Amino acid sequence: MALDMVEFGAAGGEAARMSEPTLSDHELIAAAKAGDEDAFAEIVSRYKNPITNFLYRFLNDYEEAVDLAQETFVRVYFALDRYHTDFAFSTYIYRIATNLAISEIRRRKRRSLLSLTGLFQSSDEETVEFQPPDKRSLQDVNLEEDERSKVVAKAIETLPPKYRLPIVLRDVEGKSYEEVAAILELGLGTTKSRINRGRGLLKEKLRDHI
Amino acid sequence: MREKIPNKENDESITNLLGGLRRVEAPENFEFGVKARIANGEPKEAVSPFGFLKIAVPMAALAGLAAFLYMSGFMFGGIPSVQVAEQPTKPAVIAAQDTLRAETRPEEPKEPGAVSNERNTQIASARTGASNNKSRSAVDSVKQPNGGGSIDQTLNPLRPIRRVVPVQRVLESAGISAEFQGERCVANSVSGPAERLGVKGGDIILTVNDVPIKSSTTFEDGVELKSVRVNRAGRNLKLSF
Repeated sequence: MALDMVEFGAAGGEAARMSEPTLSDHELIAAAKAGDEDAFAEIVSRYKNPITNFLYRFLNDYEEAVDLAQETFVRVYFALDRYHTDFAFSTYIYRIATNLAISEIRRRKRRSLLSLTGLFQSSDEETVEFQPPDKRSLQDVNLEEDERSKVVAKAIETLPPKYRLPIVLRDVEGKSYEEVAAILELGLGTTKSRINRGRGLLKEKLRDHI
Repeated sequence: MREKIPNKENDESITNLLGGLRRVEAPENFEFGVKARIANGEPKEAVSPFGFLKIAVPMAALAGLAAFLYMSGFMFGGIPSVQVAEQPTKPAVIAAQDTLRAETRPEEPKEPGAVSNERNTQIASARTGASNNKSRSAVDSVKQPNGGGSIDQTLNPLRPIRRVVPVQRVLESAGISAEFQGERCVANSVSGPAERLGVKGGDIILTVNDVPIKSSTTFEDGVELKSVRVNRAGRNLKLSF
């Protein structure tokens, strides 16, 4: 799709939408499928912060989180025609973000292995993408986090991904057990079990802070 | 709304701790980044430099397993031709051995052409049935009259080869020169240990080491004659060392 066709978030569209009643996710998706770029812009606006926060708490890396959050919306955009309204859009978009986050964790492992050997260099690292400057610096974001939050974030990061994902979705994002199970494509029992196990592990790590 | 897990009073503290983390927001240029990426086209999955391992590792494992099974077949008795060498009752084996012995026996001259033709026939019949174990054994026997298998020995030099010899060879080692008249084994001349044992010319050899004798009977190479049962003038006699 050409760049000029993706002019979502335009002032005119927003102004027009302000007067309209709030549309549901499925209505916005249907409109986006029909070519309404403003509808997709509304989707991005609605989910960019939750998805970024989820990925940030999972990866403990703001840059990566923003990168993967943007990638999540790109995937959603190119999969609009394949999206079915059988389940909630929030479940769908969190599932995409989760899969990307898991891929990122694997890529990190691979990267650390390769950096040890020094034999290969990922082509991803060579790609420099143009980004306009962000008014909020990453340092500001980091500095705003108090020491306790940093310890908690570090403790979350050390959890195995199978426990970290449901913990972040449930206790950070506030998803219900059913939603977490649907996002992770797990049974409800397994989901609860992993959350409890993750909490137990976190409790051991954060004993001094509870 | 958040649910509480029953009987997990400490979960609440963790939940509160995590829920109290400050929420980060997307940067102001977030939409621009999404728009730019969409303009670049549909993302493609990155190809892992080790992606080929997903196929190569199982293939290597299968190849290793197949090689192990193949080699263990060689090492632990999986070669059919060696088993044939241990089954000395095959007519082709004996025929070939008889042919070769006839060539080397001076007291029983045969026409050279006939011997050569017979030997050629054996080899030819063996070659026409390459998958036939009997024929293969015949070829090996012709090449090595003692029953060895040159092909087997080449393929598996570590495996000991058990050679077989016809019964006449065993009798000769004890001093009995015998020949078959049909299926009857008749002693022609006797000397040495057999003579001391009491075997006489004209005796019909019935058993050797309690094994009934026929023209196809063979023994493992190096076996000693311990007893012999003969028919002399209608009487059966058992003579033992």
